[in-house]
Amino acid sequence: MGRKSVLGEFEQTVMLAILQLGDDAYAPNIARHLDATIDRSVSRGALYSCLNQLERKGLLRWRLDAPTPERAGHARRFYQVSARGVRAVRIVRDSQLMLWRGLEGILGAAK
Amino acid sequence: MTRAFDSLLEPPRWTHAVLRFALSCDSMRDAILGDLHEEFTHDLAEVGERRARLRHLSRTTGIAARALVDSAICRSWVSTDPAGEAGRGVVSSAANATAVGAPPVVLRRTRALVGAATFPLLALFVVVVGVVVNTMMFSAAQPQGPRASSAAGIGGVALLVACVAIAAIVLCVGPRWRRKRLRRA
Repeated sequence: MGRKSVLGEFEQTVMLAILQLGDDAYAPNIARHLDATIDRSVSRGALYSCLNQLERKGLLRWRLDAPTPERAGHARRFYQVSARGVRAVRIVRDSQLMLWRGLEGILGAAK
Repeated sequence: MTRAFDSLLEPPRWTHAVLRFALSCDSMRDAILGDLHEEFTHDLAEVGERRARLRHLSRTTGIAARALVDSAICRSWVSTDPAGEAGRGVVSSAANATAVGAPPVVLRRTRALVGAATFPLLALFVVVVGVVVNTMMFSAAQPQGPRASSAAGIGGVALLVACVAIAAIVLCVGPRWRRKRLRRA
């Protein structure tokens, strides 16, 4: 993988949410986390589509939990960012930081 | 009585049928059904039954629509190998079997739709639309002279023939596919 970013804006957001949630990253929790932290309401279709794309790019891994009665006997699917995914996020962060640099005079200090 | 009360507190079953139609049969579909059930239960306690049902419906339609669109542009929601750390987006062996041996998801879904019991009604609708459009084209072209009229006539007849052909294929082939599927099941 070269320096070129492989992540779209929404993909970046989802990857960061998964990294923040750690071992508790499954779809409804990711949506709730995004809603609570950045006040972004996420459509479930877009979220699952994005998770599927990230999975296919090899940026995410997943594991299944044991099925529970609260989920009508369906297993929970937990996501984890793969080593390749961490590299991709790092590249995005570095290139973004380059662009943000020197703009404090215009935008003010970050919160 | 208890059974009826319990069923009220569950998400509508037809939404599961919609998702089963739209999603490939693998662990991702299983997880999505579980997630929706869990969120429905969560919403039920938080916002009440009516809003919980509305939210569930909105989520289900959103997921089904997105899955079908993704499938149409060859980005089907097929699970990758969970141990695919190497990150090549390896499709799992079960999913691979369906992906290699079977036709594309859109084609399979279309066949399933054609094989559905209600499809003859849809075919009839197509024929009716064809006849109506044909009639409208004839009546609109008539005041513009004989050449426009004959061009519209040829177009209209072609449209009508196409509609009838589609309906005939559907009516003849649909039940055969359905029988074949039932035999396989």
